Amino acid sequence: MPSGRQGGRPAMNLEEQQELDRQVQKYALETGEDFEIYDYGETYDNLADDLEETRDDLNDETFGGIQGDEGTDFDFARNTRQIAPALKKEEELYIKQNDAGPRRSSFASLWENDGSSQQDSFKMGLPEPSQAASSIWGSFGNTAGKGMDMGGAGFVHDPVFGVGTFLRPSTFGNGHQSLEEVEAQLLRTARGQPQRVSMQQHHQGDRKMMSLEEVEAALMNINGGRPIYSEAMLAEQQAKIALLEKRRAAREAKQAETAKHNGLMTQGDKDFINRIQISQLVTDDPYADDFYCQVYTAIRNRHLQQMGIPGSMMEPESNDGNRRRGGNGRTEQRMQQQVQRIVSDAKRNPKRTNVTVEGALGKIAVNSVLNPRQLLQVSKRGTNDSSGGNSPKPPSPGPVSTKSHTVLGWIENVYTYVLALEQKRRQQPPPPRMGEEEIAGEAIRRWNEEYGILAQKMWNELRITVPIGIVHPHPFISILNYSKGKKVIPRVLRHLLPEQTLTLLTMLVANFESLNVCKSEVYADVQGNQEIELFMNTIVPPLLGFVSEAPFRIVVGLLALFIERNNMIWVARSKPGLAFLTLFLSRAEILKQGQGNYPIPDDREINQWNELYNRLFSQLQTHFSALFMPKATMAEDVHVWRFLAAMAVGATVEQQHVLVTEVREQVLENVIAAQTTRMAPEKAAQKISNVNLFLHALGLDASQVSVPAM
Amino acid sequence: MDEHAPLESAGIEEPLDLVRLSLDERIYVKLRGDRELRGKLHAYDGHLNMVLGDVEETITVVDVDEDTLKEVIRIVKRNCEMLFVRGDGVILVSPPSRA
Repeated sequence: MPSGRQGGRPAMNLEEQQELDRQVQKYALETGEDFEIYDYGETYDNLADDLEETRDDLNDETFGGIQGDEGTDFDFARNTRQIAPALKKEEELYIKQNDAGPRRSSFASLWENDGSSQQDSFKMGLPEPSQAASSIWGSFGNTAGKGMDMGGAGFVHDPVFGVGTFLRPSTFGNGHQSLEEVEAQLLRTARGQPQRVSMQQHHQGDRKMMSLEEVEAALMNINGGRPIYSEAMLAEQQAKIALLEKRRAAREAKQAETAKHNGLMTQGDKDFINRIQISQLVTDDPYADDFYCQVYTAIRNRHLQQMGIPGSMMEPESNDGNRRRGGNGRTEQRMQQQVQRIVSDAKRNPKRTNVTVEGALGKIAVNSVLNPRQLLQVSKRGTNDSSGGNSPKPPSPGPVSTKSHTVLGWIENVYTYVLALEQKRRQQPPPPRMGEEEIAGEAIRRWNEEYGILAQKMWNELRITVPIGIVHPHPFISILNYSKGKKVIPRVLRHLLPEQTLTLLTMLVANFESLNVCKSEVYADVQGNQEIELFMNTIVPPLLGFVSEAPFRIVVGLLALFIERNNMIWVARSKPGLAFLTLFLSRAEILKQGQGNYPIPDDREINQWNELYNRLFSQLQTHFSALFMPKATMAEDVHVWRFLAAMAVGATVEQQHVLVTEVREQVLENVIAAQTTRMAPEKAAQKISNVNLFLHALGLDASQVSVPAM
Repeated sequence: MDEHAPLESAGIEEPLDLVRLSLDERIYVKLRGDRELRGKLHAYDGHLNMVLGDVEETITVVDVDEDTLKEVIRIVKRNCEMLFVRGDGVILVSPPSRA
């Protein structure tokens, strides 16, 4: 049907048309959804006729043209049929009550009168058509309230205009109960055993509303004329039932009151409103407009998958085209097609923010979620002012606050560019296909250029290249001193060139002391420790990845700069500082042994390194034991052991001796602590393995340590 | 070498730009109904709807003594892990006072 829904219609003969309608209605029943709601072409006025409508090549798939795989999950009709007599009865009751009203006595009559193919085919679609169906739909006014009350199942769509929508279909079968059944159930649960007799009575079809007295009498009969309840319990039951009754009455009254508005809107009106509502929510760029939803969904799906539950159907559409199953999948696919159509419609008619109709007194504002009504008009500087850059700077309230505001502003600018870059990445043009290299090549070139400009802007905004010494602390360090500045770094690094990353690392190493995380955890408050933790989690891992691929020359240079520009004793007592030292030492050791993809460094480089190492060692000598946290803090000290191990590997015999002498206390302490029975086994094992980190580097083991008698 | 951006410019053009600077920072929010909030700003929008984390809410309640007609001022505090603030109640947003 390439000519579209409207255009294709006359071409079909009547039989085909009916068949299609029948399929459509059947599908609607199965899925429990009324997609006629979303199908604008069908009931909308003919204005849309001249619009070109494609995208219906999937109609068969969408509307269930290919049958055979549906299960019985959504076979509500059967469930409904089972209680059809009850519904019928209730309907009659209701009709009797409302006979005087101006309302049509039953919707069933409507169905009979209306000869449109839609309604007819709907009935055809039902396994056992006329009676059950008309009774279901006809009794809407009476049963829906109750249904929702009891089981949560009910119709939400006005039945006059088509197929009702079932809510919570799974509960429908047993959830939809008549009042008698409810009463009986209440009594039954109160008694704690099933009342078969009375239930059967109810099921035998002779249904009338039992008054309370009758219920009571029935119960008395069953129990041999002896009341089974104490007065209090009975009163309680009565109150419950009365309350239920009252609610029902209230609901019915309300329904009757609003009934006069029934049929006020045509299906076309409803479609129109639906379209407006959906088009407000639709976006063709979910990552930019629905960011939190996207991220939340991703996180939640990951979480679910970890727990062994397959990803939910809310997954972003990209990668799971074939993982969808069953009715939900099809419903969702259909929704997506609708959404896509709306999006492309919106693209065709670009949004205008306001419309001026000729001769009208005012403007009509077209507002949407993304374009809310603007109340304040703040003119942007630079747009009015052609001189742009010369516009006066806002007065600075004082050096300190300007400082923090300025830095915060830088960080926000960095975020702006990072977000723009991430957005660009998502819009990366696909690799060229055969025969289209020319066009695709152009697109790729343009994309590269734009991406490069953005990346450069971000790089400038980081202010890494500001010479050291102009401002203290260095601007880049100021950025890192905010937690959001730390958090952005991993996202920044993804867009940097390798030499830019190296510059960043160099700057960081050169100004390490002025970092706010460069202090011992002992001196940091709770917030300070959170910052340290954040630094270790955000900045260290990506840079670790970078260093672990760096050649020897670079590692030597970085360590030299590190030692040169910072007080090693102070830096080494901070967790991040120690982490970086360990990183450089271990990387150098790996390269010295010729592992990695680099050649073994030559003698000159080795000499350089040894010199550097000796300098570091002599600076830290007599301070090794001070690297450990005071015992009272109970802090983790694995990173200290790791550092000592890295030191020990490169040390000469004398240096190793010095090391062992200095941290002898700590080694003994840990081994003794692990051997006393008071400690949990896993914790003891942890302590031993920490010590072993260091001892193995020396060629020793914790088991060789003789514990002096206490 | 690359040209770094000027050290001063922070691109503040409209009032909400100032609020943006406080993203991920602790802020102080004054609300209608004698309520104050102190918490970390996670998100905001043009209506000043906000999502705050790790919030301390301070409510000032004035009780009037029935007999003496004396006003007794009470301060109620509570903490929330995460809070959505509807923008129509916001009077003031500021960085916390450095006390």
